[in-house]
Amino acid sequence: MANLSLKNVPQVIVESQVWKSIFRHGYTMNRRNRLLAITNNVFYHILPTKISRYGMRMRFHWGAGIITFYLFLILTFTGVLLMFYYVPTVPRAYYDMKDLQHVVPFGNILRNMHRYGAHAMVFMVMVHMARTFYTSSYKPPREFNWVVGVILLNFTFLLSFSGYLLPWDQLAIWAVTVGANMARATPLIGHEGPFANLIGMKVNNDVRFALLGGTTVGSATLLRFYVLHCIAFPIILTIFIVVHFWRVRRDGYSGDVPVRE
Amino acid sequence: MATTEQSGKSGQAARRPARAVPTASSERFELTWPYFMYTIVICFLLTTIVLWLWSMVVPAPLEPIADPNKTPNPSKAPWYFVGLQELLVYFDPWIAGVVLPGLILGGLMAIPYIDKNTHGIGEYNYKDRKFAVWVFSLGTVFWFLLIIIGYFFRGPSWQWYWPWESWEIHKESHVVTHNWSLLGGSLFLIGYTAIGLVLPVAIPYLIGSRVKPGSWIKKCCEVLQEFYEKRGATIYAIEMLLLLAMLGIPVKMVLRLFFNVKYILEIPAINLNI
Ligand code: HEM
Repeated sequence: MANLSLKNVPQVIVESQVWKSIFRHGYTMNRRNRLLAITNNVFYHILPTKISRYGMRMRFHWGAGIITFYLFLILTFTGVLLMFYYVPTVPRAYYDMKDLQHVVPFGNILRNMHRYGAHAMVFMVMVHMARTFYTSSYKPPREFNWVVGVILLNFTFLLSFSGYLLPWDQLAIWAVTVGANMARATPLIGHEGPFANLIGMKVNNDVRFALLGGTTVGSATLLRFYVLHCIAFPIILTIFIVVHFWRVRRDGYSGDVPVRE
Repeated sequence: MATTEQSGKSGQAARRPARAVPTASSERFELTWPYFMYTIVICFLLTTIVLWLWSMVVPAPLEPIADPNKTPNPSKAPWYFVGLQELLVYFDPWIAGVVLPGLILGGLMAIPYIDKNTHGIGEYNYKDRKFAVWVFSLGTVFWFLLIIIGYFFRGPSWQWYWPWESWEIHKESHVVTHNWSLLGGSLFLIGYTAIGLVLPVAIPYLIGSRVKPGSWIKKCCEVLQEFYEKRGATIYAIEMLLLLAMLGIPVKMVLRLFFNVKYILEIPAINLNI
């Protein structure tokens, strides 16, 4: 115990049985440990142990996929916190938003981050799509991952749109009314769409009715959008993100392909 | 970035063909930990800072409580759908809200299967894929242009208001629009599709052999012929139909704005208006 000075406390910690049982590999920054840092960690092991220097650069990947994913994480986290304060019923929803603004500690910044984060995610997913287009990353063997990407794009829109109704203010219900009115014009299954009269579509049995749970945006719509927004769409998005990342690894990162000497 | 991989294989690397799939031990590679972790952490930190500052400085809007009896004029969709809403000026909702979004998503998904050009994987390459880059870029610019118009330049009754104009001033559209006859409309649509599909194939076969080699017409013919032959009939048809649908949007906009055409084709019995 005589040589236990403040200086070698870190040393003692990283060589202790407890530390080694958690991280399993040594702490010293040598090549072997750097590889193990990736492969031995459940969160990091979706990453390859090596990436080409060319593909690592921001000017190649724009960080857009990473940022989109990170925004999704922020939105999940802030969204769960918001769920503690928000009740999706017509008498309460709007006043819960007011409480978040004025009563709940840090409620306002919580709500703002969730709202702006959603806008940013929609934007970043389009930016990421543009980058994978311009680097030809959709070409074989990555065709299917591009298709998965388009599905992700679609569900990002739906996730954002379903959340738009929840504050239950004028902006919310009228934006959703505009959106849902498009649904009533769906060919065949929307009552104002082409061919719909041929199969007996009416205002109270078409696809818009199913979406809204009524003929106008009301309490049933609020509940439907809440469940879709907090449960269905996030789960679907998570599943496709898992597939997406898995495929980036399986198909290989396109930034690794070009050889420049 | 420090070099962590030292190997004497540069000679071998130099002999490798230009776009070979790299081997894991190639010295072009860098360890993920810690070098790529820096990028991830910086992306995360910057996003956090920007989002947090934005949330601190700009309060998110919360309008008066929802009132089904008070329709705001205009009611705008969320910004990412405002482009589609802007298209409602030119199309019925079944086209602007259902068919076109469906074609956009379907068309995007089809891209890897109709673009058979294998050049440029993993690099910014314009030279070898000019057509693809142009089509994608025009579509993207057009998408955002519609959003900007719908978001910043539309006021009450979806009339055009410059950002400095007051929404108090009431504007009304006095344009008298008309519809084309059933025959004229059908002929136009069939003609548009048929000419769009056939002309690029027909031109090189009809006049390609009659013009001087080296003239610009000859060059156009060669480009068109190659365009078709690279794709084959099926993929050519799918690609052209998607392209014609995309170009159809500005075509209808011109007809509506400059020729006051409301519907090219109108069949009220089944609600089908184009
Ligand atoms: C929730 C939405 C999405 C997330 C979180 C996401 C995330 C990612 C990440 C982290 C990567 C790794 C490379 C990079 O960071 O650039 C990636 C690659 C890729 N993404 Fe996405 N993405 C999403 C949506 C999309 C969309 C909309 C498309 C295209 C339509 C797309 C197509 C691709 C393709 C083709 C790759 C492979 C790129 C390569 O190998 O260079 N993704 N994605």
